[in-house]
Amino acid sequence: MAIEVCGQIIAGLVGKILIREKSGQRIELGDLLVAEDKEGYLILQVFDLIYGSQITQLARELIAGMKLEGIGAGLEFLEPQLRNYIIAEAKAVLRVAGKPHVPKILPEFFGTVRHVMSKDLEFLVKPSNPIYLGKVRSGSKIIDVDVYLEGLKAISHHILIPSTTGRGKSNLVKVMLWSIIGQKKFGMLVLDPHDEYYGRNVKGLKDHPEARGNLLYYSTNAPAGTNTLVVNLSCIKPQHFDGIISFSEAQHRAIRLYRDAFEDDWIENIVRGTEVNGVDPRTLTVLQKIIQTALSVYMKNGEIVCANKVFSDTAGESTVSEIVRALQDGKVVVMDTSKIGDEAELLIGSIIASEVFHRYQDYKSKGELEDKPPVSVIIEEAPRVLGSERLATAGDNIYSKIAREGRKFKVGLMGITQLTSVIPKDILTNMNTKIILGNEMAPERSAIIDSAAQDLAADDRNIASLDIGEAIVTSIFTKFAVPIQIPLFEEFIKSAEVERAKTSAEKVEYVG
Amino acid sequence: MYKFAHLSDIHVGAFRHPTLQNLLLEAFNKALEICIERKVDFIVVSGELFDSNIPDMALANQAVRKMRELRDEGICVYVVYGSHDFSPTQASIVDLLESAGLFYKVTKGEVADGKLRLKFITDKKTGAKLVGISGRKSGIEKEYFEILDKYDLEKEQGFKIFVFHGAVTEYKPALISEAESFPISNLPKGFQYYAAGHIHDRTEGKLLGYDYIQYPGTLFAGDYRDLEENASGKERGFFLVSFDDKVRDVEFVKVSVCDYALVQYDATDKNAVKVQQELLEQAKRLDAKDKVVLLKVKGELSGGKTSDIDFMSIRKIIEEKGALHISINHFGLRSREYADIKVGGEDIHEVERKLFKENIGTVKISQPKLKGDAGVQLSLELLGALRQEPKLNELKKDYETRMIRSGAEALKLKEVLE
Repeated sequence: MAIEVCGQIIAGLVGKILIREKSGQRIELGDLLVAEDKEGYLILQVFDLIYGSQITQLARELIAGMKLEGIGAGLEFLEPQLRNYIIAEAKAVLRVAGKPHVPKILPEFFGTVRHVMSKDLEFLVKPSNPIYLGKVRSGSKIIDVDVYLEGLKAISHHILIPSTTGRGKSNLVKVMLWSIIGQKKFGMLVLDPHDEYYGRNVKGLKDHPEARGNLLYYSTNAPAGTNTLVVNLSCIKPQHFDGIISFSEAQHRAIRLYRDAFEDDWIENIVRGTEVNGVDPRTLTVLQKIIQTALSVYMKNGEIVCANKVFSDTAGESTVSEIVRALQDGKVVVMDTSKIGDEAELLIGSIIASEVFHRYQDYKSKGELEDKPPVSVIIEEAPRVLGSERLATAGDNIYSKIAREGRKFKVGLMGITQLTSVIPKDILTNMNTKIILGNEMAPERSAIIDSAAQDLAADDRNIASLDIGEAIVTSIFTKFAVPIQIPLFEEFIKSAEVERAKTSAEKVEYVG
Repeated sequence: MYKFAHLSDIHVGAFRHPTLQNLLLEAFNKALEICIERKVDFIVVSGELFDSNIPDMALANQAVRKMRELRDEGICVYVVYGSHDFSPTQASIVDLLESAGLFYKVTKGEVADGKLRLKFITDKKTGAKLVGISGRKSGIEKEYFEILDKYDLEKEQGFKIFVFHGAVTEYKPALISEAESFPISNLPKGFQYYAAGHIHDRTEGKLLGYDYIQYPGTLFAGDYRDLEENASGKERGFFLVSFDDKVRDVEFVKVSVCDYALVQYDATDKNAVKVQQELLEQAKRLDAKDKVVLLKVKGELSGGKTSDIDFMSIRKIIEEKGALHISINHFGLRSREYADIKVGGEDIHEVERKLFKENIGTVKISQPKLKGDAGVQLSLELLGALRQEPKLNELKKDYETRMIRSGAEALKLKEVLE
């Protein structure tokens, strides 16, 4: 079958190649086009479309007026396909001559272009540690080429998913996690404030054939077979509050004294109001109030009450170490934080992330890091911990620390946000993979474009026009900013084997 | 108002030393005497009454004799297996005693249509309904919990007790955080009492849908670490539960059979001569009369070898002071000259775990279950299984068969077991 030409290069410069669209063809915004030459081919991406016409503006205006006013209803252009057309503005995104390279040449002048085909993208191979994202998208057309991230690299180099509401962020994360479960190559900690990943009552990660043993779900209201999200107060260290809750100097000093006096039981003793030398009773009262507000832990009738059930003075001694161990074993851990407060959620994330981070620092110092899988912490509404204002008022926290230093220790962040612009530039620059979903807010697009791994200066319109499930992947690990179509999770898992691995009844012999 | 006693992790036969064996039996006897004296209606043992499925018969005989008194008093004993006294072929002493009418196992049930359906046993005197799942090696009982048909159990009316032997993740102590466990959500909800065993420290919990998750802990000790805990002031005993249609009171009844003296010595930056000298001085000063003495020595010597320290002479001095029993733990003591000995630990179990952990990566194996933490766990299970000594008068052939069976069970080799 002859390859159909869809346009011809007529002018331009490196970053703006003008292509006349062939009549009857449809070139879309975001389309990937191919311009072949003797040694290989260039992949071009359309970033804008404009009208072109051989007829003067005055003449066109006159003809339009005559048609509108009914004077020349039958008027038509002579050979309209020659005289009026569409000009696509494109940029060269990749040169493939044997291997893919950053393009440093223009395509042949007056050469033809065609739509990209799957064979043109054969260099997009499945990596050995894949995280699935979707299929290559050319405009709104889906090309049958799967797009993956190389997980071992991408995870510790941080991933940002910027998008406004309703563009498919959660769907994307679910698809990514689904592809990870069972690989045992990366540990993923998901702080899930909407309880939408596990699939308590709908299809979700629990339906993965290898979920058993590879997916851990923690919730304050745990369904059968899953874990109760409960953390013992003794597991909380003063530094876990860093950047999450602000303390005055006097409060810091008091906390230090309680920690010295009671070690792991420092919170319990603050809550109980045990007196400690050097701590002003008023400071103690304020600390008790802070703990009551943030952790919902207080005294009632001489007993410690843990109202939100996520902190406990009796249960949950091993929860943190269980989770950290699971992450180190390359499992996915989803924590349903939908029923606990914002600060409690961030604090629990902080406890676990700190434990992972310090353990991995330790592994590095002992030369054992090589054998450990990278671990990523997925956090929704990332500016809660990475926002400039937050960092300025409350100081650095474990999340910002991971964003800045985690790469050295194979610990990464996957931040999901509607507001990229409030994240400091040094953190954004450290997030080396961005999966950009639709965003109608110009300042946000600008922040995304400014920190992208590839030059997306011309892609503002492209990003603005991204529909639900459409995304652009820009990463230091991809050859170019790859436009993708993310599958709908429910459809995606239908194509995979959805039959959940069950304990085979035949295999279990009961000895009572 | 009715009363039942809840005991667990008694580990009859756990120690080789006769003094400790006797102390353990004494604790058991004392507990049962209290049960009779307090007129309990029945007793629940949530696993590991015995330390192995075929314990030393002389010790078992003494324990059984006491239990016959319970029968004579009309006190029923309801039990589940623990991982130590479990037998996949139902050939444990627990089964023997059940056949003899001394026990009732509350684990009756069957797997049908992919579900494990358990049957309640009703205590005739009180009407309390008991049901449970035994503990097994390597936490295999997790499979049972995963297929357990909870619906029927939950809808049953009356005062219900769920008996099990295993660590519930939510209440697993930090010290054994790497041990096998299962989430509480695997248990049926709404029982009035969850009689749990396996965790050796007394633990009492309450979570959404689960009131009274109770681990009485070991009655005396299952190993030397327990003894150290005892010496550090940990109280041992059992629960006495008063109930009618719900639990009205839970009392922890302390059982103490001896006094302890714990000496913890850090040898770091001291040479062997100095350590010997200081330990001898401490031994001389020690009030050891009628006590179980636990001497724990750890740290890295600045000079000399660990073997330069004459622990026998230290032991002798303590013996002469009239100690009931002396246990010297120097697993955590290292000598600087011997750099190849990298692994230290609090006790033998920790040393073994660390050694396996350190070396498992050097063995080229392809099966995931033999690698990493899973491999370490399996190795420990196998080591534990093969560590058993021949029983008194046990034929070599029988011992071999038993060891093969234990090893195969640890390795989950079903075909060998068949």
